Amino acid sequence: MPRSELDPRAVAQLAALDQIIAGEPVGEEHLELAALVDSVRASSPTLDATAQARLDARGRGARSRRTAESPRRQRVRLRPGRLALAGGPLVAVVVAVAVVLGSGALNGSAPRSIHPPAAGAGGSAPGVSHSGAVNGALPAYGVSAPTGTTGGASSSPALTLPAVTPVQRKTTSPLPNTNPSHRLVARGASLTLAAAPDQIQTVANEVVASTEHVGGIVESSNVAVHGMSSFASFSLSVPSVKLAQLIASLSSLSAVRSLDQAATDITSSYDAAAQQLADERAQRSALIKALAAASTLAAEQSIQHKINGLDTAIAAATHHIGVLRSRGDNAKVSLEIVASRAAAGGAGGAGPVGRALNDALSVLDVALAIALVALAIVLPVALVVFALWWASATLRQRSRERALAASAAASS
Amino acid sequence: MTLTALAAEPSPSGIERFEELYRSSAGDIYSYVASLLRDASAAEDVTALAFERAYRRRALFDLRRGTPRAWLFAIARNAALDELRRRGRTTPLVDDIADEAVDVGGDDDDVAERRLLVRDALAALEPREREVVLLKFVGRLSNSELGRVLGCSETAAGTRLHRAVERLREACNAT
Repeated sequence: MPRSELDPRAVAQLAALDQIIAGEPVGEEHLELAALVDSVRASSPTLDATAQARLDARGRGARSRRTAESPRRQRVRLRPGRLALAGGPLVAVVVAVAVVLGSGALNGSAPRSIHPPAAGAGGSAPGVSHSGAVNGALPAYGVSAPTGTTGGASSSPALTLPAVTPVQRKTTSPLPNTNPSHRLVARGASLTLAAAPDQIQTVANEVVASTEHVGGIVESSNVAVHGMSSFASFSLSVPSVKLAQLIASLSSLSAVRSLDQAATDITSSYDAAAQQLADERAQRSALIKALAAASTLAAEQSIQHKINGLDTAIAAATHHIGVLRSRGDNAKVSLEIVASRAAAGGAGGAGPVGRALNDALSVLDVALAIALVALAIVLPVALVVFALWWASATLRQRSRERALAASAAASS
Repeated sequence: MTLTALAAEPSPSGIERFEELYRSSAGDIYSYVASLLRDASAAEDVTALAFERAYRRRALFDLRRGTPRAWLFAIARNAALDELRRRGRTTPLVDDIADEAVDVGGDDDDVAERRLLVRDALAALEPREREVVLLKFVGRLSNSELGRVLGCSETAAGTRLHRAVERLREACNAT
């Protein structure tokens, strides 16, 4: 017993007190203390026979009530150990179900590393999102539907359709191969691939080859090979009608980390610009006629000034139309390749073991993400609950101590 | 005696163990509570309530944190202090057990006088000092158990106990 803060006499007294309490004999110097203990015990209120009987009856009644009413509850009472044993598998099952549902595996949509999106086949991977028209079925002119995503990746605020379900994805294309002739749609995609560090250069070369193969161009590129910090980024421009083919081709090069696609209907902007150009040209023709009929020098100069202004506006409108046409005809693809050990056996020709490893890592990745989200929700709530409980318990205990201190004043 | 087996309620052995704990502790619990409350009726109620709470929470009892007896005294202490709190908000305490406390039966006058002296000296102590003396003398708790019941360390409990005993001695000798 640590009694280092007490003087030896106090320590001896406490030791003697323990002996007295235990009914052991003590030395003569502690006999007075033993008598004091006896006197305190003897002077303390005692439970007389009547009160004892009442207490017995109350105790028996209470226990029998609880025993009668709660055998079932007693059996199912969860202790922390049992709770952990029961909760662990339950949480694991919930996470597994969430992962399976999240990956769309139950609906026939395979994980990305095994079946990257194929051209026109519409196989969509976890982490892949689409926003835009499906199979060219654009919404009505000027109407914007909610953004559709699958897998939780971001999507651009563009002309969108509701979420594409896995079943739909089996029969639809991420983006149409051809546009309806009367619509002009600007398309874009953002793709992130994961490759082994020593494969990044190879994959980068294949990106360039694939882009050129579909008639696209590499607008900019940046490839840095430094072990695990290896990185490559590309800005690609490809004919819109070849976008799906290019994405399928790029997705087959390595494991797909994420894929975002967006489509924006710019037909209205194009039509407005074309109408404005037509108006300005008609106005210019009228001014040319007016210039021929002008009778005074001042009138001629005024009309010429207006024609010059119209020429500038017509040039700008023509340029704007060209830009819109280019946006419709050519899609932009932003591609990043990141280094990943897990992708060493990636989609680009890995064997079944490598794919299984990738799938396992993907499942763990998703499970970890779910756990983090759950933790982010549960932890603050738990902290608040704990703080409230702690404050409540502390206040209650202080209140009890105050009541004890106040009892002396009340009874004196 | 442990309460761990009581977690398997309603097995007969669990009930028997609780009955054994009740029989060995009820009188001491009552004495302790009555000394705090100075009200026989309230002490009886609080004692019954303490055992009922203990029975209800027996699955939460952890032997590593002390004996069943210490656990029981902690429950009784909280119940008694809750009763004091409640009474503090309503009516003042009524000391109705002073006389029976010194009922010494057939003992001689010196013993009766001595007990009366000790009773008065105990009553003159600060409530926190009186409480630690009662928990030690009546409750027969170890210093570590005292610390757990009072919410302080074993050393602090020993120090408090020593000071309280000294004050009690001084009060007895001064009278």
